[in-house]
Amino acid sequence: MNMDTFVHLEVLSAFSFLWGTFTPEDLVEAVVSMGQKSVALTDYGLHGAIRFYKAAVRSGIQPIIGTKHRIWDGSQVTFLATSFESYRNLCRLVSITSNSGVITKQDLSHYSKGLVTIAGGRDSLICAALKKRRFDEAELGLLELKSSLNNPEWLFITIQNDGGSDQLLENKIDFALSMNIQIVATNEVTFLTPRDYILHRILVNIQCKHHHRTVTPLPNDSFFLTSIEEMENRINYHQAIENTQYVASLCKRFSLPVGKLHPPSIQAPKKASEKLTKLCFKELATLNSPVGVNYFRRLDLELEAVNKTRLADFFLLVRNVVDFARSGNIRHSVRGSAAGSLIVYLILGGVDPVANDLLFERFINDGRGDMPDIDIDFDSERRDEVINYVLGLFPRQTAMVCTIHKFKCRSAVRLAARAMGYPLNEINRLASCLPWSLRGRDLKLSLQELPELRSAPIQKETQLVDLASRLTGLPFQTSVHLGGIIIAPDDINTWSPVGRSPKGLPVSQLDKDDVEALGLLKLDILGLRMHTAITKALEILDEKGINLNLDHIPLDDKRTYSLLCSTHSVGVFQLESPGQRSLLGCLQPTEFKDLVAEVSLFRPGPVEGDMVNVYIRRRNQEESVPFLHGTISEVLKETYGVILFQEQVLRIAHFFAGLSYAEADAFRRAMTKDRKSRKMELLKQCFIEGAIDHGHSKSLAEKVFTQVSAFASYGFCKAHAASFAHITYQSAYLKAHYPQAFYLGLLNAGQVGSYPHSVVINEARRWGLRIYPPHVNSSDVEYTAEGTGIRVPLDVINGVGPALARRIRANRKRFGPFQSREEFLARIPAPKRIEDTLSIAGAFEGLEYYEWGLIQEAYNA
Amino acid sequence: MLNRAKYINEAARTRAYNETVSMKVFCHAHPLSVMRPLLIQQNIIKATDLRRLPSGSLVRVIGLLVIVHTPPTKSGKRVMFLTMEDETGLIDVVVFPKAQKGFARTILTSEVLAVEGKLQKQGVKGISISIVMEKALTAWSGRLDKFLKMEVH
Repeated sequence: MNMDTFVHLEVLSAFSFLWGTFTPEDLVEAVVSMGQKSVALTDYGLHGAIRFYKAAVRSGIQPIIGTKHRIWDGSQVTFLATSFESYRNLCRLVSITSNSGVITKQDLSHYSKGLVTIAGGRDSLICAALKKRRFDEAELGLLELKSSLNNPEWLFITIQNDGGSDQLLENKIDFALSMNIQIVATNEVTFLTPRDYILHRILVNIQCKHHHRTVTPLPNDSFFLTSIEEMENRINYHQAIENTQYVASLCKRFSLPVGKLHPPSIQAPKKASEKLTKLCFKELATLNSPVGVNYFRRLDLELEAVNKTRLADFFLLVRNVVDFARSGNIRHSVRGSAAGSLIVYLILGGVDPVANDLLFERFINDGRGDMPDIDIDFDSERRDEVINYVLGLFPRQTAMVCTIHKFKCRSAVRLAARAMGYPLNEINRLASCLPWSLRGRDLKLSLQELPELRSAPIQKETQLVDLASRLTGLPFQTSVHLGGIIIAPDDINTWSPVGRSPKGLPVSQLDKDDVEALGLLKLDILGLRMHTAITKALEILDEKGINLNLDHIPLDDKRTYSLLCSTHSVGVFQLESPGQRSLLGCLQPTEFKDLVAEVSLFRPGPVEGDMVNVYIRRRNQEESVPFLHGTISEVLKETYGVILFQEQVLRIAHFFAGLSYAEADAFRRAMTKDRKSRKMELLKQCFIEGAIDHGHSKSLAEKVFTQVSAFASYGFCKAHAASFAHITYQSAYLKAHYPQAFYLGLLNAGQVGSYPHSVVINEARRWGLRIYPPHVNSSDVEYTAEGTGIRVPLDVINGVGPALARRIRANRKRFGPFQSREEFLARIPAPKRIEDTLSIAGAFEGLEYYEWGLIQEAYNA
Repeated sequence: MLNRAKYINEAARTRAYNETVSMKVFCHAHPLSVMRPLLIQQNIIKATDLRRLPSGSLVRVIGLLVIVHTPPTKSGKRVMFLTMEDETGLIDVVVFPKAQKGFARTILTSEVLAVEGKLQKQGVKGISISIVMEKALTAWSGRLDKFLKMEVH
């Protein structure tokens, strides 16, 4: 029997949230193992489509992408894309479903071109009518649907045998034949094996109990990824099975433009490039200090590369966004490899890439298949203003990137237990024993290995543990990415379905990896709380008449380095964790490049590769730098022979082996991501041959390759490190010179860094600042300066939220200070519980004496 | 034996207790500072004292547990990095799997943690300090409000 005569055309993965039980990657793997050649993914949206497409292409399986929709008569209908153009229609239809729930006849007549339609499934008007032998009703439903389709010849009736009546199957076949409609066999695959049916039921129960929806699970365990034999046994109508192959052949032309760039075109490329060139030279001319000819050479080189890749528009767009931020005094900085570009420095600010020896080619090179990112961090509190500005610039072309949340250990236990009917107090008892540090660990393994869980009550709940483990890692829900905005070349609805977030923002169904795969432009408008803290600190200084511009402070301030060397770095950006504090003590930074190294060293890579100790010993002259080949020695001079930065890998591959920067970057990526690939082998060959061509011996080439490949994956992007180190220095400078403003900034910016407010307050006290407790007559809604100390706000008191704190302040401003506790309670009615807590916290302290003072005053008078 | 517990300032202790049960921060003093006379009796030293002791010393410290960090390791074994805080500063503690066997539960459920371990100093100036925990002093660990209400004999 030919194994590829049947194709599953209705498949719902875990991206039909809380319904399907497997990921698209699992589906592809199962299809491969069953020897089938094509498979469709027809979720209720397109969240899993791109990863499914990539996984299928990688495994040599023909991917068919479709979606399931509810139409005007309440029926569920599946549409399959036959080309990229029809995929764009699919996106439009999903957008309509996301926003209005159902598809109307008009929607279908506009957007069904090129789509294969599968109707008459379990949940459809046709099926319901045929069950009751109401052929007229079924005919009417079918004709209405058919008349709305652009390609009625691609309309199919599905037959399924899920253990229901054979009569229905026969009725459907007779009906379809009488209507001259083709028939396909499907199985509405929802789990890969019957064993996973229970997981499906649990997921549906989660929908019912957690989201309070009314959903009915599938009636039995027959909706699994069946083999051809199983389908032949179930469906006694061979043509329906063969037709699945016909449908697959209709979709053969379908492909997604993965791996190509699709930047938006805002203006003509020539015009954009002229504008960018002019802007850069203007900015170069207005730099604070005169620059050497090397800046001009570098700028020429960068502009050439940018114009070649037609990215000038993109740079101008980012400049536009930054101009908006500057006009509103919104603090921002560039992060990532983009900080290594002179163009970026000139038009967006940051650290000088020439002075700090940062490499442009890590950011843009000929070999990059994806759009380069310019990630910008903005003041967290004001990031929404920037997001709204960008969305308003191109309303038809933009949407937020979405984020997929997966079940994690604790949430899986809680939700599975709830679905299984455990009482709430029992769920709390079982889940509370699971520490937060379980994050990312396998539940079953943790229960075996972690000593604190040995006697945990959950150990006895074997079925719960089993189900929770199987749920862990499956998609649970989606949310809006914090700052990723897609800018499509044309209507965003034709690249991804777009829905609305609760805040009303347009949200795509593509996550950041999907956006990268489709080569779409993604602007990352990120939020950095340290920017908020610095802004607030500067405002406090401004109020005191100190006008400090942190972007122009000298980078060699002794007091700042002395503070860092003392390891008292709580609150300093990036350097406050235990590891970083310890590293500060060992490294004793004295200049900016030490901070760049410090930021790069304490990362999983260098720590795992034991590069940190080597670096420290060599820097402190406790160990000599080993002999290295001339070229390599030059490249690694700044890091004492240790490969610390990704840029160093690129330079070694470029100067030692003569690879172009594009090849060198591919070499670095291959070593970071997929070290066993064939591509890696080819690159190795390329590296060694290149080195030999450059006059090096084969043995030296191999030795260098081994050294570089051993450490390449540990390297950190120097441009990113330098950009972060700049913020580190600024925050340390503030702490060293203006501690009161620094701590107030930190405390008023929410949770900044690793430490809670209690630690920041204690640290401020140790720094010599006086801490004043919250008081109804003195506290504000934020931490405030009081003399040289800090007054704590009222909302640190348990039960007093910001709203009550604001009410107290407003009342005090209007009617004057509270003169007694009774007066306070008369003016601000508060529950007894809050009154007691305010009293215990000392927020009324002194009022009694004040009142007594007034009485005495009156008596004396 | 000389009873030195009488040196605890009861008013300060009540104030620390009140702050603990009513607020998220400590405004008047670090709660451990009021209990210090009692802690001295147990040979529990302060964070700043660690700078004066040589590497390798067996020390006892106590602190409010601020962060428990368990980063992934190459071997897959769990190493806990604790950050504790007393009235003089932060104390970094490393807990290897052997010490976790008996004390992981105490660590993960305590607000105040007292530990005994070996002092480890690094760097030319020896100011990169951590303690490799050998055991948790369970009698002195637990919830902060209970700790502050501890009966003194």
